[in-house]
Amino acid sequence: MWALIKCECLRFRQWALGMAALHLLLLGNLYIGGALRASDVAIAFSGAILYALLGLIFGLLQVGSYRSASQWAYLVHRPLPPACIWLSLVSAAALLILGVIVAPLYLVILGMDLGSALTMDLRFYLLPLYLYGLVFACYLCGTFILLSSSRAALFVLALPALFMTRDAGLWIFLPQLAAVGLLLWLNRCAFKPDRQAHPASLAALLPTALAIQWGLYCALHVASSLGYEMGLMAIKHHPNYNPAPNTRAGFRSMPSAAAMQYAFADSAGPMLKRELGLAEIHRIGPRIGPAWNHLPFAQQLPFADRGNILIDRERSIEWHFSHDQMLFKGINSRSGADSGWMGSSGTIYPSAAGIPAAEYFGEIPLIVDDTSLVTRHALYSADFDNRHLALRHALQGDEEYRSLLREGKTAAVLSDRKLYFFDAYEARNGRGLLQPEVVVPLPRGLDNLNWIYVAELADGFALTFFYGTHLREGWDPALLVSGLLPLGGDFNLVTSRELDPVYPTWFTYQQYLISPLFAYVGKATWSAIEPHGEGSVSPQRLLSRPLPGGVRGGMLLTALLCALATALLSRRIPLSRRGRASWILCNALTGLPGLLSFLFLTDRCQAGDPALRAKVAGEAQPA
Amino acid sequence: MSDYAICTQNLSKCYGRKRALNNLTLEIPRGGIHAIVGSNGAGKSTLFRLLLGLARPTSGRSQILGRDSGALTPELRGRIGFVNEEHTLPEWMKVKAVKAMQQRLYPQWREGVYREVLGNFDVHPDQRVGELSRGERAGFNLSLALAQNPELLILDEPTLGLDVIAKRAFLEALMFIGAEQGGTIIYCSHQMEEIERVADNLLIMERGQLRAMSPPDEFRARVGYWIVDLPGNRPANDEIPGLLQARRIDDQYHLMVIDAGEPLQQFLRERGARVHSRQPVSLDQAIIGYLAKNHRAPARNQH
Repeated sequence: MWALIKCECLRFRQWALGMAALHLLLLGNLYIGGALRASDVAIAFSGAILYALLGLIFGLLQVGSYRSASQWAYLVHRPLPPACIWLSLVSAAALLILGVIVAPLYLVILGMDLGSALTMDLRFYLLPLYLYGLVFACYLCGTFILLSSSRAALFVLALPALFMTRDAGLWIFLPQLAAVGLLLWLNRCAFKPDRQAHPASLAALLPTALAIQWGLYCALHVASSLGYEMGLMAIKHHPNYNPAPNTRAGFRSMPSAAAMQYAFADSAGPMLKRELGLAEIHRIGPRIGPAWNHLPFAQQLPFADRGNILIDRERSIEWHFSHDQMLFKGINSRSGADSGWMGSSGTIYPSAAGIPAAEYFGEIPLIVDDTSLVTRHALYSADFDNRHLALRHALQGDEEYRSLLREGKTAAVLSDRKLYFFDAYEARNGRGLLQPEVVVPLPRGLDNLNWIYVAELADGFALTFFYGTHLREGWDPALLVSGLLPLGGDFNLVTSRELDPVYPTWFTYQQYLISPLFAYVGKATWSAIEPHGEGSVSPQRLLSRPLPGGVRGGMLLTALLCALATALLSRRIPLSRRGRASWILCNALTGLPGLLSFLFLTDRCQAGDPALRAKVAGEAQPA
Repeated sequence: MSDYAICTQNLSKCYGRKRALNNLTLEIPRGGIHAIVGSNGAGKSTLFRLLLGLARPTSGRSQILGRDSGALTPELRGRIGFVNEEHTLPEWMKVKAVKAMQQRLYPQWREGVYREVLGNFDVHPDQRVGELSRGERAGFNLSLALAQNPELLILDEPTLGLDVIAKRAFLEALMFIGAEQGGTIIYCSHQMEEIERVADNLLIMERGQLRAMSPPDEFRARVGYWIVDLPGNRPANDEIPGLLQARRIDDQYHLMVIDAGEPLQQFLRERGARVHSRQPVSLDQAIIGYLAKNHRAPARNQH
């Protein structure tokens, strides 16, 4: 086995050396250009795609070179178990990827850590491992595509997408490990002397079928969504271009004043309507302006960073937050010189040793803008003239901040439960702890909230809570909740108005029609991977989601049709009675992906085929 | 232990609507060199793929060294050598590295045989496999295969594309060293002179079926070449017993026939024919005549 590993390593050694040198050169250039620490989503995504493609191409190349009958015979016809031969190929690939991807990354990170004033937290050292997992998973996809007996193996490419999310705390290694583990097993099952033989044992067939079905489900969902939306665009009926009135899309497209007038239409007097037309209107919400779905996770991978640098423009100092030290590390952006450490009071220390315990941040802060930073429970303002960080507001319990608004005469903070109004002058110019003037509980929570319109009236504020996000359509109703907030008074709910759905019911619930099982599994999986994602729901919420009667009927029809089609098709497939019954039952649950995978993973016989005759005679092996 | 090196029963293999092997029943005894000949598409390579468990039969079963082909163990694979026409070897490695790798894999490795066979070819241990000529590569591959001391060695058109010198070196190594080891050699080739030189047993395959199996001399003796004068109209081909080929040259009929002693003579007597000569044929002519006859015939065993 070691000889075969060495043989494979020798085979790609020149390529590996070249690629490693190129990778190192590229990383060095990016570092010099300053792009290496940029957390721009486009750079992170492009980089991930590039690494993924590299792994995929390597997998295709390695196994592809053994595809011809003679090469394949040379590879497998030797006195070694197929598992050992396969393990040799994979081990060699793992070593090569280590050399090409991980080694240059660690060299550059070490160089940055030791050769510059930058601090490289643990999370920077974990990044190469994550990228290694990404490249290796894509490599395994490539090898499986060529080793598998079915062309549908292509759909396993959906598996690495399970951990290609930007909301990546350290838990992202769990789905990554799961995906790599599953792909390793799929490859192990697919590697056999007879490449055309479909997986026979349950241990091989079940994971293969599920992985392919998951990919098929994702592909069908994307194809159906894109197809419908592009069709609407083609006939110029897409809601984004031609929004129907009284829908979420229609309301979104309205100017702020018109939107608030629309929201108050049923109950506002002519005076209020006129005032709304003239008022300065601001928006605050978890998805607009200086807002965030969630605050940074401890030791989150660097590409997940959003707002990690506080900038002192006067002194040209960039303050990078160190997850290891829980302090800001200062770097002079012109000279690259070390500018010391900054604690939660704004005091600057020349070294991280001997800093008082009170100076350490308790939570990872998010830098909102040049003067504001926020942690889960505390809001700070930065005053670089006086070298001071001031705590301005704090939340109790498990309530978390979501957004800030400082426009006109309005200063407000949105948490995941309430909207806090402060004195605008004090909020801008003061340094002390702010006391909220008014606190407005969110009438329908935060999950489905697009944003809140805040209209500055002569004697207070008018508020409209706009509920109904794209990803929540079908989960919660889209509606407008409006009320008035007089100066010094409490919020009075004036009116609420439901909005019509943008898309037809079948489109909103299409996942359930494609595959009832994967609709639930997929939502639960994504909600676990992206716990703070816009479309994430709790398992209880997922299971208690009320489905319209038509959708339930459609699901039942899909299940029946898929089971019936499986039963009819299986008559031409040499299957045991038990195997046939299992496929029929499973395909009723898994729907279209199940039916398609059944076609891909079984051999259909011609009428009169000996295999079919053997089946009839009861001699066929269970598939 | 099975008496047969290879045994198949009603073995069929279909690729879509094409039937590459058609109910092939075959028993090749242990020992000796067995040559398999057949035109392109006869199913020889498919047979080897099925025997080595690299493909699944559509129906039927096959055994190799007494074991079902679909369940070959690593130990059994170590007792079966396989050399294909492309002489697939890791081109990026040096000769000595490939040899060392193979030596570790096969505990029954015979260094003496390796050296003796490789001695027939101009191969240096420090050369990369990719730098070897086709003949050198074939010789190196054969030396590796024979040094593994296989009980069964399958050679799938190993001399294809070799020049006469390399071919001779290859065949001599095979005959004098390979055959001495006492194993079974299955030799597939289109080169009839090679078969005549090396084979103890001849198997003729056609359209996925076994057409003949006998020692080469026996097969050659079954085929005769007759030159006759046939008065009157030319008889239809299917009227002439055992006819393989018929040609008219200068008012004489040149007939190549198989297994047609007395019936042919009777036919000729009935037609008032005069036999000018009856000549033996070479194995090459016999096999070509045999295969050419059915090659022209309409396919009867296709779907």
